[in-house]
Amino acid sequence: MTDTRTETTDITRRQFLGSAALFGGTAAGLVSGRASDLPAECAPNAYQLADSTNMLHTVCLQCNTGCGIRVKLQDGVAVKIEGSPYSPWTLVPPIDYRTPLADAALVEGALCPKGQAGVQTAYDPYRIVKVLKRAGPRGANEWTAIPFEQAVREIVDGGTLFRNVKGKETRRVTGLRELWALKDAKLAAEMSTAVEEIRTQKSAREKQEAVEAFKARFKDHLHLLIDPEHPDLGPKNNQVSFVWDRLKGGRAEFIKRFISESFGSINAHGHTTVCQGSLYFTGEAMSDQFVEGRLTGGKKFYWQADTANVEFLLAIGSSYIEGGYGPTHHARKLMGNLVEDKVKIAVVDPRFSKIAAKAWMWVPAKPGTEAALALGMIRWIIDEQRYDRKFLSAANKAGAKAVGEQSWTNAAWLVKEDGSFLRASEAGVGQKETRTTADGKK
Amino acid sequence: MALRLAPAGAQAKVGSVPAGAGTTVRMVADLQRALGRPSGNRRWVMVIDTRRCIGCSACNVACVAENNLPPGVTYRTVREVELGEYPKVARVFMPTNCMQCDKAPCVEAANAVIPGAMKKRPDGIVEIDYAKMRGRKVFEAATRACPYGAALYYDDGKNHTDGTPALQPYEKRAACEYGRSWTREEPAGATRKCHFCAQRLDAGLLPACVSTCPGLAMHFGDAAAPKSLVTEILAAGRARRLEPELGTEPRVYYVNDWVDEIQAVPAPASTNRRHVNCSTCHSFGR
Repeated sequence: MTDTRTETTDITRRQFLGSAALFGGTAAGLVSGRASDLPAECAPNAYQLADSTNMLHTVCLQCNTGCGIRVKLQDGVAVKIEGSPYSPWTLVPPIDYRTPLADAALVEGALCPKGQAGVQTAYDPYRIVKVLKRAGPRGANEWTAIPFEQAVREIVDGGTLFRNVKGKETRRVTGLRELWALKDAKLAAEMSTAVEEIRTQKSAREKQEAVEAFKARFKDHLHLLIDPEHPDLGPKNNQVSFVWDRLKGGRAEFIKRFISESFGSINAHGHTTVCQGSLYFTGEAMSDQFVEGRLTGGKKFYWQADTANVEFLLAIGSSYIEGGYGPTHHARKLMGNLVEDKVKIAVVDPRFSKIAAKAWMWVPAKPGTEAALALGMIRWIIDEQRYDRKFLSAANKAGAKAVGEQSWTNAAWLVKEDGSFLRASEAGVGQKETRTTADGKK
Repeated sequence: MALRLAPAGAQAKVGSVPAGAGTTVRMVADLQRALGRPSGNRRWVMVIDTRRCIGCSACNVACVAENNLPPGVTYRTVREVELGEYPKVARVFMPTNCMQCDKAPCVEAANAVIPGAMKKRPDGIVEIDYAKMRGRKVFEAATRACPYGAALYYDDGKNHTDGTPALQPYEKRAACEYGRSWTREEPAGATRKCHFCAQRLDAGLLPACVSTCPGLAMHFGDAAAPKSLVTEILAAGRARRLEPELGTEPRVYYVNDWVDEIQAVPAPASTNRRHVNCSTCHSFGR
C-alpha cells in the first residue's frame, strides 16, 4: 500500500495534472460536460487545498482537547481545517511521523464540528482586533479604538487617562513603570526570607517586633513596599495582577517569565473549567500514594479512558462522544467496537444524550441521585460477590506483590464514622503500629 | 498573511499514499487506484453506517467549509429523529446527501424545465450546470422529483457574515466545483447539491464528510474495483439502498441494524406512523 502507483497507470497522472496546469489552462473550456478522466479538471484554477505547501500543521484550541490539525490555505486565507493524519487524537492509528508532508496530504484525520468551525473563530467579524479604551462610565459600553502603541504607552506610563470621561477628568491611573518598584533580585530574595521570619512568629507581639526589625533592616527600601507596616503584602510589583484563561502551547512559561520572573509580581492567576478540574483532580487523587499514614502526592493529572479496549463503558453525566475530551478519537475507537459488539455502553444521565443513543442501557437518574445509584451498585456487587477478591486483597504494595497484582487498592479498608481508616489495633487485631516518616521521626 | 504559498496552478506537491493500518488510509489507497482507471470504469459509491454516526454534524460543517456554501445550503445534513415514549426511547442519526441516483428523477425533471441543467457523469456523480440551472422554477421541479427529500438547495446569494461589520475573506473565496473554480457570486441563483466532493476526488482526496467523520460512519470508493473496501462492504450484504422499489438506484447505501430494533419501540401514540424505517427520517421535514 506504500506506493499505489506501481499498481496502476497513475504513475503519470499526477505529473500530467501538474504539467497541464503549469502550461496554462489547457482544460479551461471543459467547464461542464467534461469527461472526468481528463486530467486537468480544475486548471487553471488549480485546487489548492490538496497541496501540502498550502497546509499549516498546528493544534486545535476550539476546546481544550488539543487535537492535531491541518489548516488549509487558499491565497493566504485559512479556508478549511482537517484532522492531522500524524495525530493519534484524530487518526486511529496515525500515519508514521516520518511520512513526508506531500504524501501525508492525501490522508486526513477526523475532526469534530467545533474544530471544523475554527475558520469562523479565526475570521469572526466581531472579533476585537483593536485596543478598546473605555470612553464613558463603567458599564456604559462606550469605547474608542486606540492605536496599539498608545495602549502600551498608557499602560506603562499611566497618568490622567480618562480626561474625557465625565467625573474622571482628574483620576490618575498608576502605570506599570511606577509599579515596577523592586528591581533588585538579591534585595527581593532577602526581603522574602525576612517576611518568612515574620510569618513564623507565633504571637501578635512577636510578629510586631519582627515587623519593626524588618523596617529597621530595610529602612532604605520601604518605599518599594505596598505597605511598610505589612511587609508580607510584598513590593508594589504585586499590585500588577495578570489573570488569564487557557494555558496551552508555552503560554504558562511565557506568563511566568514575564509576570513573575521579570516583573516580580506574585499575582499571576490562571483558571480552568469545572468539568476539567473534576477530571484533573480526580485523576490526581486516583494516583495518590499512601505515604506516612495518608494518601498524597498523586502525580497523574490527566487521565484518558482506554476507549479502544474498554468492554463496558459506564458514562455518568459524561457526554462521551459529544465532549469528554476528544469526540474525534473516542468516537473512532468506540463506534468501531460498538458495531463489532466488543463494547457495551450504559449511560446515567437525565438527558437522553448522544452517547445514550448508542447505549445498551439508559438510566435517566434524577440529578443528585447518582450517589445512591452508585451505593446500590456497590451493594449488589457485594451481595452477588461480583468483585475481584484477589485484587481487593492487595491493600498495599507488599500485598500486591504477594498476590501478583500490578496495583493495589484501599477499597477494602474499613472507614470509621469520622472518615478516617480503622486501624487493626482499634479492631482488636494486633498492636498499634508505629510509622517512621521520611525524616526518621516516629 | 506573510506566508509563502504555492501559486494557483503550480504543480501540486501531492505524493503517494503513506503506509497505514487504518480504514481512512485504506480508502485513500482505493481512491488512488480508482483514479488510475478511466472515469467510465469507476463506480463511486458511499456506504453510510448509521450505527457509527454520533450525530455530531462535523460532516455538515466540513462540507460547508470545503464547498464554501452559503446560509441554508448544506450538501450534507444529519437528520435526527426521536422515537418512542419515555423511558423507552431511541434517537436515530441519519446522515443524508444527494444519492447520486443512476436513474435520477431530478435530472429528468430539471431537464424538462431547462435542457442540460443536470446530467449524470460516467462515474456516477449527478452534476449541475450552474450556468443553466438557474432560478426557482427548475430548482422546485427537481426538488419535487427527488423521493429522498431536500437533497437540493437553492443558492439565494446570501452570505453567513452578511449584516456583520465585514464580509469575511473565507466567504469571498472562489471554490472548485464541477471541474472549475467559481467565485462566490457565480452560483448565486443556481441549484446546488452534493457531488461527492468531485474536486477532492480529482485531487485524490476523499469527500470532506468521509474523512472528518469522528465515528467513521461513511465509507467511500469505487464499487467497480474488486479489491476496494466499499466492494467488500457491499458484498457482505448488509448495506441497502433506500426505497429500492422506486427504481432510482441510488449510489448511497446504508448499513443500519437499528431499524428492526426501532420497530420494536412503540411509535408515539400521537402519530399515525405505521412503522419506522429509513424513510421515516428521509421524509422528515419534507
